[in-house]
Amino acid sequence: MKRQLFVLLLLPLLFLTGCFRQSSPSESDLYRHYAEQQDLKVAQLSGFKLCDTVRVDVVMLQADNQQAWLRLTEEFDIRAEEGTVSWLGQIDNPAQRTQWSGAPVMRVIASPGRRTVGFYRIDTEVQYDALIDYQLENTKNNN
Amino acid sequence: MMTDQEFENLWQRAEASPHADGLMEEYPSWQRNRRNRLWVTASLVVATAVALPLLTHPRFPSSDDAYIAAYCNRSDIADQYWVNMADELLRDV
Repeated sequence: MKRQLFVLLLLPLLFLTGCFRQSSPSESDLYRHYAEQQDLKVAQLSGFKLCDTVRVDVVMLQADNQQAWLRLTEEFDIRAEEGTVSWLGQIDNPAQRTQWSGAPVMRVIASPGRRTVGFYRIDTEVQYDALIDYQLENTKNNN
Repeated sequence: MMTDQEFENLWQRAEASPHADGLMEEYPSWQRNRRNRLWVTASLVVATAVALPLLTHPRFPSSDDAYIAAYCNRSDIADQYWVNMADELLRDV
């Protein structure tokens, strides 16, 4: 009887532990792909807040030197003379440009001045709209 | 009349017997105490199971938090640096 009760009590504990492990933020494949490179600062912000109800995951690569930046520009086909550029990239291959169709994409922003590339993962239309709203709002605030 | 402790000892020996249930009914105070102990244990386990994730895990962020979790391959860079960078990149475009 005691053993049965103990097992019954243990079940919700294991269930909750499993739930919170499954849903906990973890390092993305993109982050892991670049994290070992010595001349890149690599960061991931899980749940970067765009507004009170919408968050996105962001991975950022920052080159330590010009050589590392040139490697990034070649890998992602970035033309430095164009200044800061932005495109929608495929999730598995952000260098590959694509269009918004409702399927998950990366919003990629490359800033030659900061030698930084940011990848904003968009899974839903709500996130897509919130990202645009965030930029519009900040542009208005800057003016 | 046996004390609860004496009955507890007797119960440990008799628990495996098919007559154990009948024996337990003869001592309602012991049965009540036993049930109470089990409820206290059950409550503690459930409360711990619910409270631990709530208290310790970052998946329950405040709506004020700028991010839920941050990872960086350089330990000397503060998370806030990347929060600012994520914000500034969006402003740059």
